[in-house]
Amino acid sequence: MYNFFTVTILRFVSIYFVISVFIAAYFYPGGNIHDSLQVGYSFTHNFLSDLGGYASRAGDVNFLSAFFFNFSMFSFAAVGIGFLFVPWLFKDDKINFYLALLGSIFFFVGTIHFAGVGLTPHDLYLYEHIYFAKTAFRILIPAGLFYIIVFFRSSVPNFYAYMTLIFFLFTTGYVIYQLGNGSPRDSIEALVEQVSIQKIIAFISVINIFGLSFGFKSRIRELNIN
Amino acid sequence: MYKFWCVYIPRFFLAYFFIAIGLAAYFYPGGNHLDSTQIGYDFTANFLSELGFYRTLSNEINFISAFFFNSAMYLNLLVGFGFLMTPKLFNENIYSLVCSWIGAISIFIACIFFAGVGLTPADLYFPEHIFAVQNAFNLVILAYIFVSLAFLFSTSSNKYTIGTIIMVFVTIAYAVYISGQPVIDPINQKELFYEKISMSDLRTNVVLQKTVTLSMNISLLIFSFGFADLIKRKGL
Repeated sequence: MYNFFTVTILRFVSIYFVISVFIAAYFYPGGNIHDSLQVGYSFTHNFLSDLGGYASRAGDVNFLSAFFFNFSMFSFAAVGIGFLFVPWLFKDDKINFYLALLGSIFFFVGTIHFAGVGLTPHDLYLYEHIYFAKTAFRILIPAGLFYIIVFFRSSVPNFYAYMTLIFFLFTTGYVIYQLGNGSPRDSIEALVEQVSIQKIIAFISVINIFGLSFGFKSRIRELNIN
Repeated sequence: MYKFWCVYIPRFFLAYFFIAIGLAAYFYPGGNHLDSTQIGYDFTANFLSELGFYRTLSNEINFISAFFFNSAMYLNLLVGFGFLMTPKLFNENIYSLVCSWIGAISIFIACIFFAGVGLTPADLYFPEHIFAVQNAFNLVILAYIFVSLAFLFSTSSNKYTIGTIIMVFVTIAYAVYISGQPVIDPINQKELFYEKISMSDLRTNVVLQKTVTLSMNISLLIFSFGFADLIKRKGL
């Protein structure tokens, strides 16, 4: 059971998300916020959220792209549920258990917000969409911080602590960047900058979730549980 | 692994399917094939597929309802993969094994078609939607009969085939009923649909479709108990 929730789910959802983004990009009809005539999806001119729009930025029906992207975002709810099982991998140390529990609660709430992103396409529910997208990353900051401490204090190789530290620094940097950046509508350069940074942070988040599954796996082996 | 794919996945799918249908019906704005002013979802006047429409028949945005319904259909893929593990449970004699393989492969393909139903909303891709629905239902009936035969030939209890027997009768009744009904695109051939189909025809069709779907799901649930029993006895 622990292996399924703390390892299998984390790996499956991470891989599924990446594959879904590529499938969604393939089916995206076209358009970005500056150019409705753009054909297809551009990884430097379209936000990930564009994939989940009810209609594309060119105004076309965007059913397939939206379905694959939104369902992959919704799947992150399963990751959140998986994280709720993680504290029991650290139950041999009371402090670690409670720190992991706090981290897991933050991860759970954060991933539920990611699921919310998938349920609120930007062109139908803009306010809710922005709320979910911004809050999700903000909640992951304390989640990452608690797990860094847990990993350093536990017998899990320090590699996972450093990996989570990188995730924590990038997420914090992204949240600070979001507080001060202008609108992507201001210029194409601003759009490309924000789109590129968003892709990098999304990639780091997915890599971190995928990587953590190996840390949890090593802990499961050590405790000799399943 | 066998317990996960053959027992937990079908049960998880069924739980998700019924919750998703409930949520989709709750969020469905309204309209049916003969009355675009209907408010909300009516289980006796709306087909399940209408939950997956891009726009409802009242011409409203149907995002949330479509998301839940289509994702539930899409998750059939997991059930299809799960069934590919089941022949291992019926390896005690050749009849049982062959029937389970035919059943498993048929269900796997049927589940791909069911996922296709979720990926082809009828108001956007009507011919593809009908193609996916018809092939899915035809294959799943064939598959369930073979899985039931696998149970009958095995040392397992015959009680696990009850769901399929009920499903086959309901499906035959549905097939006989719809064989006399014309296939009309309700979006692009609206006038013809109004002319040929009465409200009572529509309700009969809708209720029969729901009954077939329900019996199919009950059958799947009963199979999951049968698989759990075999896994326990074989110590897998």
